[in-house]
Amino acid sequence: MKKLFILGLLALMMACHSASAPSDSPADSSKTAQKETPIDTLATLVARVQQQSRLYAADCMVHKVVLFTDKSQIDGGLVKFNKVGYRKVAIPIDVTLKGYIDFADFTVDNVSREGDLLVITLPDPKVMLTASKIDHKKARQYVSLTRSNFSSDEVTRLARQGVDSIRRHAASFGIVELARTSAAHTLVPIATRLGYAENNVVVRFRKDFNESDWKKIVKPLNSDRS
Amino acid sequence: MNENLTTNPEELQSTFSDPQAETTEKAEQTAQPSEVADKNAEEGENIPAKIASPAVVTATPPSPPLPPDGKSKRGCWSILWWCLKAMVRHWRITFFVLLVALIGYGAMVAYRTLTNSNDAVEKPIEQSPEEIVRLQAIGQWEFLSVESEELVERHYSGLMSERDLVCIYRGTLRIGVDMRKLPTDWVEMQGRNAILPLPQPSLLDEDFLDESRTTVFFEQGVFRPEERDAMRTEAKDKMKKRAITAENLSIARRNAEAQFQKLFLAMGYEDVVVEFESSTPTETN
Repeated sequence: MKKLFILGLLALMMACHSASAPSDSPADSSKTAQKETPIDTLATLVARVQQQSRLYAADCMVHKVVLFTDKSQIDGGLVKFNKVGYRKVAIPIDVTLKGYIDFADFTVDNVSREGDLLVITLPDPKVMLTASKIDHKKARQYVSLTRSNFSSDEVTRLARQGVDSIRRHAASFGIVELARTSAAHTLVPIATRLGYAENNVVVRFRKDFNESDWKKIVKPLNSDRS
Repeated sequence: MNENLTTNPEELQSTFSDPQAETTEKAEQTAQPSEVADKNAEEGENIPAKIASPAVVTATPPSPPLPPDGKSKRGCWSILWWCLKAMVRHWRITFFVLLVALIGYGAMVAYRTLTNSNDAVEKPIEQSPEEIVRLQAIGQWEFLSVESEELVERHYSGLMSERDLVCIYRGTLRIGVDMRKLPTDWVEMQGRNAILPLPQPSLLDEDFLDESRTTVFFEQGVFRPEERDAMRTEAKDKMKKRAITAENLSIARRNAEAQFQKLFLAMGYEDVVVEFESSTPTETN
């Protein structure tokens, strides 16, 4: 009976050791990488190839630390109480935004010559999110024993909230103004090579009005704003 | 008092001789500890003399085993060995304690599993500042974009556990020409004709992965940040290998030629000739 007990104890210790996370030392990680070779069995690709004609004129990288505290409750219908323990996470993310001008609809009508003056009318720059990166090394989560760790899916969804927040505030970063200036710096040398003086080349931008803009611009009939 | 008195001289002798024997024995026994006490007193130690009766047997608790050399210092290993032996000797108590610990751990795991819900992260995040790390003017002309998805997985199996992670990464690779790499007088004029020497179209930015749109298909176990970074790097490499092909670069070149011709003709040039540099080894078939 004692021998059986010792054997059971040894088996439990071995099981606890294998179930735990691997050590953090690089030497051990390389050893585990050698012993446990990853099996990459499948790689699928869904690709969409699209011809573009965009001039990316401004680049902006924004850093944000996404903070989240799980204050969820156990709802039993009549009784509702907070879950025992705490659950917090801090996820640093880096988001790259670029201001671009779409030349897809650029035609002869966008360029007008008035004597020595060359006027180039471009569409208003737009801002696009080109890349986002989650810093897994610097991410921190503080979870008590009675709560579960944040899964990768939860971390990704929280990061997406942070990216959406950055996208909403992109207009205040100054990307559009910088893109306008940079586009002008790119096109003016092309025009000067044609013989136009630098002072006689005008690059202007035309805003593509949307429905919300029209509501502000178009004055209602018999209104005080007329 | 009168009961103790006897008149028989033999009985008197026997009664006197036994106590005398006892007293001599006792005297001898007390003499020994007193001798010891005297010795200790001589050596300067304050040890009270023991007067122990031979009939009294005291049971002392078992003390931890001493090293074979008889030294009073106990090593850590000997204490550990003693603890292990005690656990095996009192295996019922050890078994009970382990059982209680297992039941408590199981109850904690069950509570965490039952109360865990992914809907918690649907709630809004806390307010935090957004820091602009870099804001700069660039001049990258994009002629081809390739939206790509890549599935990367890791599987590790241990003695009694497994670690699995399957993720689908998404990104958009942008192929074009970086105007910043061109000299200021990159447009060559021949009358009203323009000759444009352009570099080969290439990947405009190495950061093209949108990690916030990554889908975690399946996850089991704990993965280190280095492993996640390795998976991300692998996804990027695979996307680049699939997107930057000779065919896509050829499409980008044709599109670049068409767009520059349209732009320069609109600005007043009569003829536009686009010349690309010789192909670089970065192309993959």
